[in-house]
Amino acid sequence: MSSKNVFMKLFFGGIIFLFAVALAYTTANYFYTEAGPTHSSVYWFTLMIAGVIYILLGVVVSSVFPVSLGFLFSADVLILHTLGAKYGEIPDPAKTALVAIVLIILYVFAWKKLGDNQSSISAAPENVSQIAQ
Amino acid sequence: MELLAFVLVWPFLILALGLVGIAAWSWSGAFLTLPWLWAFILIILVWIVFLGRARNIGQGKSSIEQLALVRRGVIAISIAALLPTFARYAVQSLHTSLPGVIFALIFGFWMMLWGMMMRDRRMLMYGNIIGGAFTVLYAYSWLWELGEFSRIFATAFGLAAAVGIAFFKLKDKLTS
Repeated sequence: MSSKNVFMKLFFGGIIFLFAVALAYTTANYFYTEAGPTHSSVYWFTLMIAGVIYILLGVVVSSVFPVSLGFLFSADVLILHTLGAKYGEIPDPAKTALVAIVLIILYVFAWKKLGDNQSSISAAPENVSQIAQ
Repeated sequence: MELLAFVLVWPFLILALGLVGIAAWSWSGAFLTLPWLWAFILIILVWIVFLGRARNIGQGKSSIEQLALVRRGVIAISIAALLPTFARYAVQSLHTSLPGVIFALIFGFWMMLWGMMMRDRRMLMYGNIIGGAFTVLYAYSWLWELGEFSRIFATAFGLAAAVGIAFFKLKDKLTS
């Protein structure tokens, strides 16, 4: 990634991250208030949906790193918060599947991209500096 | 596609590490209270610190290379922690039955063996060996609880695995 305009990239990435997280929480709060206190699952469901939407947005705009990373990191926050709050209620087969999917993705990435003989920079595509500029 | 993988890697690694933390937190009621497990974790941590100091890992490297080292470390730690987590949920999904525990035992041994046979992917090697060892310990702790027959199976399987590794993998080193 190019080192040009680092401050601007960090600033915009941070702003997008903060606004994305804030939007998700305010929306979830709104739906929770509308549905009533007996429907607390609406709150977590909204956060999860927002997390999924942010992942899709991050993938779609992946050529603009700060915007993409802002969305993806805010999706991390939302998904981890939801998982942390509702983890005990998830049935064991679903937990097994979730951990298996994460493990498979880790193995595939490590196998394809991070061999000992590959240089650290080779994890980045060749045209990345041009795109980042 | 390559660009997408490059952008997704850190958010995904943080997600994986977060999942490890959440799973570990949910375990704290039972498994993490076992004293032998804490001793095992302590030994591994001390070993990693001494290994890092002895080899001067990260010294003389650029910030990008150091970041890549951190990334490898995160992947190794995530795999080492998620393997026993997966085994635990798989065993619970099968209602802690003997076939489920045997599956966890074979899975743990298989991962350890795979880690031992790795040549040019050290982070996978460490992750598989440590994660496999935790999985085997977890499976053995359950096998011991399930009665006499499962204890016989546990000891027989351990013996067979040790003999198998000695013959097929370490024969040259053991006979020289």
